[in-house]
Amino acid sequence: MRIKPTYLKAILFLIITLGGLELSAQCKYFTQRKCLPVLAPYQNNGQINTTVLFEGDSASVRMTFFSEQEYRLVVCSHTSLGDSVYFKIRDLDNELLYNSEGKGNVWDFKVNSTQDLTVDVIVPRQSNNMTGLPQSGCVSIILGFKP
Amino acid sequence: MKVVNSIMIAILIVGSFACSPPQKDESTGVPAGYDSSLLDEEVMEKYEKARQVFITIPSPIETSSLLKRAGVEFNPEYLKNTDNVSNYETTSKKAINLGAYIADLSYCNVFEQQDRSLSYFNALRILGDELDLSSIFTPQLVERVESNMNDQDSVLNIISEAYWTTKSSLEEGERQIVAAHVLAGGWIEGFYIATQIATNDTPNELLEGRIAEQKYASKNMYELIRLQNMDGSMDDLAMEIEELNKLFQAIEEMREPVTYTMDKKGIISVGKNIAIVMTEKQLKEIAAKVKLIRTKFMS
Repeated sequence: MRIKPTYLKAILFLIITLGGLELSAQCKYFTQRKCLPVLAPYQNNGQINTTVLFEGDSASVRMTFFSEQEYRLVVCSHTSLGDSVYFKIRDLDNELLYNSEGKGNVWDFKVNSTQDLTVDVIVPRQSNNMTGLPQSGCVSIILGFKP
Repeated sequence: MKVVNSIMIAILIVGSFACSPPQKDESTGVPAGYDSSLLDEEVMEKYEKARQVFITIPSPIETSSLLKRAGVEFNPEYLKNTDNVSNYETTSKKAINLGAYIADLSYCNVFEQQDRSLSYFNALRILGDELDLSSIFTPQLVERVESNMNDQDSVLNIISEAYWTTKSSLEEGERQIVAAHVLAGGWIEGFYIATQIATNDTPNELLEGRIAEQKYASKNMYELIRLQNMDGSMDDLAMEIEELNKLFQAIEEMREPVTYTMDKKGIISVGKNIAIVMTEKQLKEIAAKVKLIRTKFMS
């Protein structure tokens, strides 16, 4: 059976739209259930960035960090992406300040002075993925502080 | 089979557009993790449009917390009146004022003025309904606030949750311009309160330092508005934020090399030591500009 191009486009549009919304809703639920509890006893400041990433992808978030505040940064990823997701923190001059690779994705820290830092989240490719299609999953980047 | 493959790839890639900022492989120009032979031109074009880096703005809760740490006194004179909530007619006015009310709510709660919270939550419910966010600002939310009124941390958690779910719901619904207005309203209102206290109340050097440090947030705010203003609907706001940002970027800044230190509690402190020097004239100009923006877009 041959599907008319117009119908195919409409079906594709619906699948893509509904699929995207479904993924976003799942990520919100994932963040609330699995990620936010890791922030305690720090107070979430409302800065939560959630996205769907694939193996081999990376995402960057630029945030302002204030001096004298104690922060907890949590990068939380779905198990489908494996356990090798990590993050790097760079300053405005692109100087590397921290690399979480092999150290876990929760980091408590302060900044010497108020400044913008970039958090790069990296999802390495999984060597044991035999499907031929890249795995995807929710990734949340959450910032907490001590009020 | 070819059709099925195309659909699968399109779903995988475009499904991530809702909020994903994919990156390009620098050597091939192809999104990392994909075989370029599987991507047709149309998909690549959509991919390019979606490519972005998240830019964040300090949240109203954090801004209020910084005010408290600077030792300022609570001053209700600078808060918005919730009686005006029905006066906002356009979506952009509703969204920017929703952000402003969240900022006022955060300010009240961080300064332990929980008794003022309910009127703000009720105002947020009205604007939330009008902005199709009624699933966030529900009667149950107000009930949760009422039953936790004496627990500051719980109320702050409720505000924080309302703030990020508002932002993410708008972004999921492809309403990035509305989301940008909410973020702008929250930032401008918090910043207005800070500058009013700094220029009218008891002089406070710490607070002035915190205001100068908004130089970074100002740049991010301007970039966020500029990126979202593709259709020109935010021209007015973008122009005002650009002028504010110019005032901020004129503030002198001196950077020293990165150092790593450990405090008594074992928390590491990282990054450059940066001195930001704002003159009194600059503070007054910035305060006047923020007041003008607030009057123009949020009254």
